[in-house]
Amino acid sequence: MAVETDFSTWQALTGVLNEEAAALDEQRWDDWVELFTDDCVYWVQAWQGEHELANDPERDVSLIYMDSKAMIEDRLWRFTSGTAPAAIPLPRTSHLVGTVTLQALSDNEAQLRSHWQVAAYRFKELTQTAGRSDYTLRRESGRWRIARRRSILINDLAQTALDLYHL
Amino acid sequence: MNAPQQPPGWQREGLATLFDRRPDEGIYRVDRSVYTDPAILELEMEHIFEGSWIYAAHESQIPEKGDFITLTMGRQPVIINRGMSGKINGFINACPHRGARLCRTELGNRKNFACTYHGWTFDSSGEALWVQREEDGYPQPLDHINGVGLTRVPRVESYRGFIFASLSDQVPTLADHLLGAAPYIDMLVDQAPEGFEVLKGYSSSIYHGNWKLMLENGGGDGLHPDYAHASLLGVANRKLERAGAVQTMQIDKMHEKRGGQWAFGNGHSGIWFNFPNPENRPIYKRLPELTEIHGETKATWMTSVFRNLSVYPNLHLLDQMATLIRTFRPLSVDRTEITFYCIAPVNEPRNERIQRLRQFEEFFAGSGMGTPDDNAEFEECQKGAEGRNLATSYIGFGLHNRHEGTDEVARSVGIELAHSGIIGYEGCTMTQYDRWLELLTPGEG
Ligand code: FES
Ligand SMILES: [Fe+2]
Repeated sequence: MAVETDFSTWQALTGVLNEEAAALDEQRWDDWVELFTDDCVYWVQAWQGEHELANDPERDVSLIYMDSKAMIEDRLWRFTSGTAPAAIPLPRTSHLVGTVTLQALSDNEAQLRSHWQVAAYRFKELTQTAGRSDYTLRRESGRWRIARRRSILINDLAQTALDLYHL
Repeated sequence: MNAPQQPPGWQREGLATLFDRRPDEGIYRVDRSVYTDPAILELEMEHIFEGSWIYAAHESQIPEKGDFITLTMGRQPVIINRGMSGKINGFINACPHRGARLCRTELGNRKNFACTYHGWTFDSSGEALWVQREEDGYPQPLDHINGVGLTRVPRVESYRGFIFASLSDQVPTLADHLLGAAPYIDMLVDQAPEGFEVLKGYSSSIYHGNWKLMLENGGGDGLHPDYAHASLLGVANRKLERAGAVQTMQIDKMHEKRGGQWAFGNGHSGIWFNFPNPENRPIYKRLPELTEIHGETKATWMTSVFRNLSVYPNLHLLDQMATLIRTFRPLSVDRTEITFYCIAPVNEPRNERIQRLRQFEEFFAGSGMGTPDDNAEFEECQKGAEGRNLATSYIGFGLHNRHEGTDEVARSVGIELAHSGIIGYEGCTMTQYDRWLELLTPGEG
């Protein structure tokens, strides 16, 4: 259920999603990680069969579950450290984000849903990931940041590796 | 080594030339064509994945009557179900009529299997219930069990909830297959009064490499963590300073800890060493009660010892950084699918469960921070194996000072060993290829 807002708010909100994608593709890692709040939840759900999801991150397995920016920084540190064989070299990526809808909006909190496709290119081979995400954005001292991103990846068969830049 | 001039024949003599096996001199070389030759994969499919015991599933994946899962054993599509009588069955997932797959989803619940192509229907024990226009089309009534019933997987048996199956009935008993792997499994299952279950949410990963690279890695590569997993060790260190972080089980410099690597026979193997930080394991809180039930030695092994178990040819049962089933199968000579199932005690308390989940997700599955680095190295080994001018791998670490037979430590937890060595012992790989040779040349040994 989408809600309406004025154009400048819409631009500010979708700007966060666009910048997240662009920063990943351009490997502007510091810009990227600054998009998250300190207490953010970054969750990628696991599947149980074709159409059922594992829904409880405290009982069931997730593909990725992080509940702080520090955990995101750990992952970022790992794949940029030059010590992780799966990330030597890193793939080139291209994120395509679309069909964004605003689900809810208050003064300092917004909920959006986006759909995305990511092409990743490594060792002259292209892999693709596709899915959708529910975002909670929070306004902190005038800036919108990601407080929660819950993602559903339709092709959860990881090709060698599945990391944050594939999402 | 005397590399074969010609592709080896299908007899043991030919295949044995792929190995330069002189353990007493510390020499063990393996010809890398075992990773690249499609003819060898054909043999492995026939004799190993379709000719001997392999791991199939865990009983908790099919808890209710009618539950089924689908899998592939070697090249063959298979259904494992819990029939309406409660019995666990295995069937070839192909309709006796024209071969269409009966079950097309990864899992589900079905009282009967109805084929969507021409409607033939079977009950959960494989008996045909209905064949289209049976009276019109055939001179006499069909034999609904042996004629047009489902074809059974000849052997399907469980050990403590772990279902093993064989597409050949010419196999030893499951106990004779498992040997010392069985008491190793007990040390996991006995941790929980109601046993272990597979948690919801599983995933698979593919790497471009031969299946044996995964087997060898999980079956006893105690030499790789400090290098291939350096980045994960770095993450573990970063978290040490962070209050509230779910800590990582420390696996760096495992050779400096009390530990070893074991060959159980039949190609099964294991690694163990004492964790420096057992208090970070969810099960550690149970140490007092486990000591009461199982005694101090076993309870310590259950709660405080890193334990890898590799059951030849396709199961890794890990109770270490996390608790999980890792099973894998060849898709082609240079492509392998690995599936990860986190396992946990039935009715585990919430906080312990959360810790267990975060530890699993941190390292394992294609989305973890450990598995991808292993996968990447397998792919590099596969590419390296194409360097035919360097035809062999040098896998002799710790062979010259191995210990034959069982030892004190193993005996203290009721385990018989074939041989063992120090952390890094590459006799765990040698034992896999000894088994490989036996299985590929049946009747010759
Ligand atoms: S193939 Fe199944 S009924 Fe014909
Ligand atoms: Fe590893």
